[in-house]
Amino acid sequence: MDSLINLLDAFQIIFSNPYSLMYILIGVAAGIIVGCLPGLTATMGVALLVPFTFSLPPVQGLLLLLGIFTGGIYGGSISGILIRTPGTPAAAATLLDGYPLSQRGEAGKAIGIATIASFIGGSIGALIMSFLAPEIAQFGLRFGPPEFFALAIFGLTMIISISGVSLLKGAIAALFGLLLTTIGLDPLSGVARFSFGSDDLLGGITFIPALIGLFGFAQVFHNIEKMQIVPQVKSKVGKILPSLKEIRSLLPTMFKSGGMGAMTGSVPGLGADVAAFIAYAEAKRTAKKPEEFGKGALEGVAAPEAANNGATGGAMIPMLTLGIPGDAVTAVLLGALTIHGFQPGPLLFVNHLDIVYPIFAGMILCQLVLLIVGLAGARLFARLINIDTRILTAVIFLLCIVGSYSIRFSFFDVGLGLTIGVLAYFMGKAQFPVSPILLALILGPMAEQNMRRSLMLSRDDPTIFFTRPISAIFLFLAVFMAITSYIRFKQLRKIEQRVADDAAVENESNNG
Amino acid sequence: MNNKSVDIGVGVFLCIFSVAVYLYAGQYSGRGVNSYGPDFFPKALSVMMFISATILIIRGLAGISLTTLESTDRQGFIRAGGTLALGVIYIGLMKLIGFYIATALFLYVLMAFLGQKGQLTRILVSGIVASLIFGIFHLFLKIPLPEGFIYNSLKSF
Repeated sequence: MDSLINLLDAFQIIFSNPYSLMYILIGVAAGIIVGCLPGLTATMGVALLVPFTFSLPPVQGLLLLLGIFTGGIYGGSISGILIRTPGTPAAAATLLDGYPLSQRGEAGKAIGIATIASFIGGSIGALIMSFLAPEIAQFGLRFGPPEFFALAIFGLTMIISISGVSLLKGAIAALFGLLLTTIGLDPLSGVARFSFGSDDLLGGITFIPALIGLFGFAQVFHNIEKMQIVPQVKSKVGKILPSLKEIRSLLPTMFKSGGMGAMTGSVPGLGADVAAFIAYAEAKRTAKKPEEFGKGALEGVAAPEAANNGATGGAMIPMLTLGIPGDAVTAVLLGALTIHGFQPGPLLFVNHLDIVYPIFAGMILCQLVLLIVGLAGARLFARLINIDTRILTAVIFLLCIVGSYSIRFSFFDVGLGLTIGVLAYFMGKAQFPVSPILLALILGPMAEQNMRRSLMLSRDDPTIFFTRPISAIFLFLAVFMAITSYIRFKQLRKIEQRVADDAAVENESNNG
Repeated sequence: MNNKSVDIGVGVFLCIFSVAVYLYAGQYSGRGVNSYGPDFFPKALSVMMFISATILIIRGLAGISLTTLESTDRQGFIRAGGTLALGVIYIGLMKLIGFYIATALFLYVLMAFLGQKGQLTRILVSGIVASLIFGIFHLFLKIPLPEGFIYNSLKSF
């Protein structure tokens, strides 16, 4: 009941300030634009726009970022449907049926269904988050250093899910990221580590320039090297709104997939892309005509879109309540919250209810704005895909530089961002994933400090991690997650290989 | 280079790197608050890094590297390097002539470098984007952007 009252209060706070609604609107629109442009991910969008929120009041800054997150995940479907190139990985499942619909001249209907499904899925995710997160946070208040250490280890197991093609390379990237977190003053002893006499490094690796380096500069260099001219949108968008009958028949799929997406997203490591594929597979399994999937089935668009937007709310749950990001975008949001002076975790729900509930209310409002902006602006967003990549890339490169500079007004940070960007670019060449570095940058300090605090408590006895029940459970879950994620990792690789093989065969037959 | 030699090369580099980290972290020992002092975490990580890098080398030598290297477009690679160089020049220029002029110039040159042929488009985009970013950061968000050495010298003069 308290949650409901707090949520209603938060709505009142947001509605009482028109600027808050304006920032949601700007965020959602910017997110859709970033999402629908191939080569720009939602993670990159949030990372690039975090600096724009520095001098805003915290609630409004966070509403802007939530809007980008929500819009970014949805926006990827537009290019997926129109040009068979998902704007974000989360939209990869949508194009399987979205693009055939587009080829049949029903692109508008596919976008319309994607928008409505995103709204329903996203709303379910946001509502689950609003009512489940406070309960989890309440439980989290029992945690001490050993539990937080075990939790960090549990969170690090999600590296398996974000390691791309090689688990070993993912682990190496994470270890490198963890080593980066040891740069600067050790918070427990005050010793300067690996700073090599530089004052700029005493505070450690600054998060935002590192983030922009990993997801901004590196992507820009990659895009410039390939300089792929994005295929022009040729198919007409046509009528956007599907018929009421069609919407009604899709509602069960949307609700079910939205719920599944929220649950999947709440497991660290299983982001919106995995949620979309799981929901797609489930919709196909339970469909009356599964043979239509892949040929333009409306459920094939509704299910992944409801799931990937449902996952946005789900992914926020572990981030807000325990400080463990659900996926790469929430990892960036976690960093943004920290920059605004709020440390995600159980105490956030004790000390900063004034921030927590506006986040919940904001996520719900983002879905409503997404529905309106998505349906009203579909044709405009579709046209944006044709934007000249040479102009776009130059502007993004500039934003990366300005963004890196603006956190501390420091050219050192720009150099840091560029250096990390170059490193991430070459890592990409050698198939080393960069997302584990981001995760390590967040969880590294949490793991180290809590491990050492625990050992101080136990007088150097490491059994403290196994004798405290919650800590032991988390460590057990970490091992369990590692094993099951590894099995799933192998299965996913096989599925991806099969999809790639099928696509190659299809391309050959099309060309032939 | 094929993926096998890259994996071996990276593995060897990481082995050397992890040994260097381990040795360098040694200087922090004994200054912590308990026996797990400030050296413990970097040392533990460097040991894990060393083991992982060794596995990478062994897999490379055994020819069981699972990943294939991303192809590199030579022209594109040079273009990316040129962009990086332009970025570095832009940072230097920003310190000298200030954010606004340096940004407009940088955008104009970078778009030309990337192959944008329309002269008018380049002028318009560079002017509008520089004004927009200056407006948002400097005027709206109140984030101080570099005014430049020349402007500051003239101001003090």
